[in-house]
Amino acid sequence: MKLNDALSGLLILIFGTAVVVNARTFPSMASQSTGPSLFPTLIGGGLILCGLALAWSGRGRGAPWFQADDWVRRPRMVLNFGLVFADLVFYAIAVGRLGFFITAVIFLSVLMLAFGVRRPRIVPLALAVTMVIHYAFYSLLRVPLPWGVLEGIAW
Amino acid sequence: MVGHVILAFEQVFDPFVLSVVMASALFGLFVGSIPGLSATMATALLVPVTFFLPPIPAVACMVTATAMAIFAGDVPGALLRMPGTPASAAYCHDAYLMTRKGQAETVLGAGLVYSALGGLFGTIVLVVAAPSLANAALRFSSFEYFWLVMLGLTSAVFVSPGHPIRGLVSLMLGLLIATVGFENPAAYPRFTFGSVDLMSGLQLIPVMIGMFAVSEVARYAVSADTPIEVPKQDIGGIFKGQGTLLKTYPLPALRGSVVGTLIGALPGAGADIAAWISYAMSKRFSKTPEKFGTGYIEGVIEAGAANNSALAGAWIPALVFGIPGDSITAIVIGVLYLKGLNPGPAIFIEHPENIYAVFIIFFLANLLMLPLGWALIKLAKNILHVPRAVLMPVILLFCVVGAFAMNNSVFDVGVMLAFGLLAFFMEANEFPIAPTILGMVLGGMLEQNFVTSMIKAGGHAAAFFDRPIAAGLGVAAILIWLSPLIIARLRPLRITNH
Repeated sequence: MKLNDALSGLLILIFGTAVVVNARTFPSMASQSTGPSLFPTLIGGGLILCGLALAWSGRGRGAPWFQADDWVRRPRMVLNFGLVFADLVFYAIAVGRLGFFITAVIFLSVLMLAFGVRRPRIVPLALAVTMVIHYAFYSLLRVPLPWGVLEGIAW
Repeated sequence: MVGHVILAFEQVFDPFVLSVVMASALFGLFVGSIPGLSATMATALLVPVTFFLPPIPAVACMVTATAMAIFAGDVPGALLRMPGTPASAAYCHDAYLMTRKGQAETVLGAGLVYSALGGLFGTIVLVVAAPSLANAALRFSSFEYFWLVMLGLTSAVFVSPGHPIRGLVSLMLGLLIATVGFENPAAYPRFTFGSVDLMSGLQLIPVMIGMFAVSEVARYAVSADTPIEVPKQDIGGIFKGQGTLLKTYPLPALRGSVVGTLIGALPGAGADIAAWISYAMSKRFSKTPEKFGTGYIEGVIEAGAANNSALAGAWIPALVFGIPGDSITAIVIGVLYLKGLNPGPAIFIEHPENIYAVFIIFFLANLLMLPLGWALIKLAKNILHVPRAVLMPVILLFCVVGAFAMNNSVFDVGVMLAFGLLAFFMEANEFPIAPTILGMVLGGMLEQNFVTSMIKAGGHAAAFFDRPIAAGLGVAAILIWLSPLIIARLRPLRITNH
């Protein structure tokens, strides 16, 4: 997903302005020029200048505003891309309740399926990897990975 | 001092530390040899592990893994024409053509030998330069530190590939991220939008894992995975003929090591840029520049030494000033703080044994590279067959366990996810990632020293140039900022002169 320089410059300009506007609401320190707002204001100002420079360099090039990468036109790839991030959300939500074992096996299986690992191999692989990671983090490094519904068999 | 050195040896040659070194060496070799997994990513993935280790093994883990990964990147470069890490990209073409000519042993052996030699050279410079720099740095005030950080950030922008404006945007973003939370000189919560999680700021580790590892998995997810064809030929004695090579090309090996160490020490530029510059330099000074790009060993030697020496070079400013020399040391600095090994000149006086331990680990890692690298080359065919469709989900699980494990917070997973997405789109639009991380690591330090200096100076900007070293650093930083304008000014003059 490639944006035209003029467009990305404009977005950076807007972002920089928002930073400056927000920073101006910070309280100023009595008798001092260097309050909490000074540094963010300078950064925001820098972003505004960069945005302007980028927009200026991209002017009149005739490049399309927005150019989609090849993968965006392939539903399978878009699905894979979404799954990577959805899987992370799933882990964060589920790990407390289901526990590490079940969550990790589902987490791995979903992605392996999406990436085209042969089906009969997926669950054994996911189980094996989960066991290894659990051993490394839980037993060796003593990270308290949650047990969730498997609390009864916890070791 | 002798007492401290002995203490350092005892710390390193402890069975637990040695087993950590061995395990991280294998991890580094594996990650480095898989195309698409970089040395920076190896470090980011190790952070959650180091979180639960004592300080010395934690440092040992990262030093060893990165040194091995940078060498291991040469192996798929030579065999598949796919650099294992970006640091091997510069000479990948030459290395692959040599394999095609039936010289796989020579090029793989040279990659290994000169990686180790470059690494050892960089380590010696680190050992010599860091303590004396630290001695000088003891006298630095906030003015010197302010300019030092400015100089570091400046070189990060100008050395990063692509247009400086894009590097600058990336840097500003990192500085902005560093302002989030109440940990600032005024202790006022900035950009928290009422969120309790944002009060203590955005944590470096989930951001790093997101930007360097999650984004890479996402990039894999949208790429067409082509099955890897490993050449069938057997690989024999890789050390044969290396002595002759060393006699033929002593100068390129030395030049590569020197340039690599210097580029590594420059903030923002690491092993990959060191390799590109060294390769170009090798071609420039070679007696036979026309052979470059046709499967020729000279550039492989020079750039292969450069990328490993850059790793050690990057630790010089990291240990002495807390200013990372590359994105790997940016991560390392985060870990050093977590472990209570705060970088800076003070650690050289208060805990010299820890610094000596770091030096010893560097030597150990580069020596261990020879036998382990030999084994990797022998096993390369099997390792390169590991399907990435299995590997990538495992890496992602590692990321999420790591981001989660440190604070058990869902918020950190969200941060990792958001920055993974951001890095993915930044790279797609050719914005470099390294300056963001550098800005994030150095933002707090920059503001702290700026505010302290302003208060000391009573608001008079001229005070920033009152002390000689501060003035020198300040002028250097300003000159680099102005350099594009100066060059643009000089260019028409030169044309008219001709």
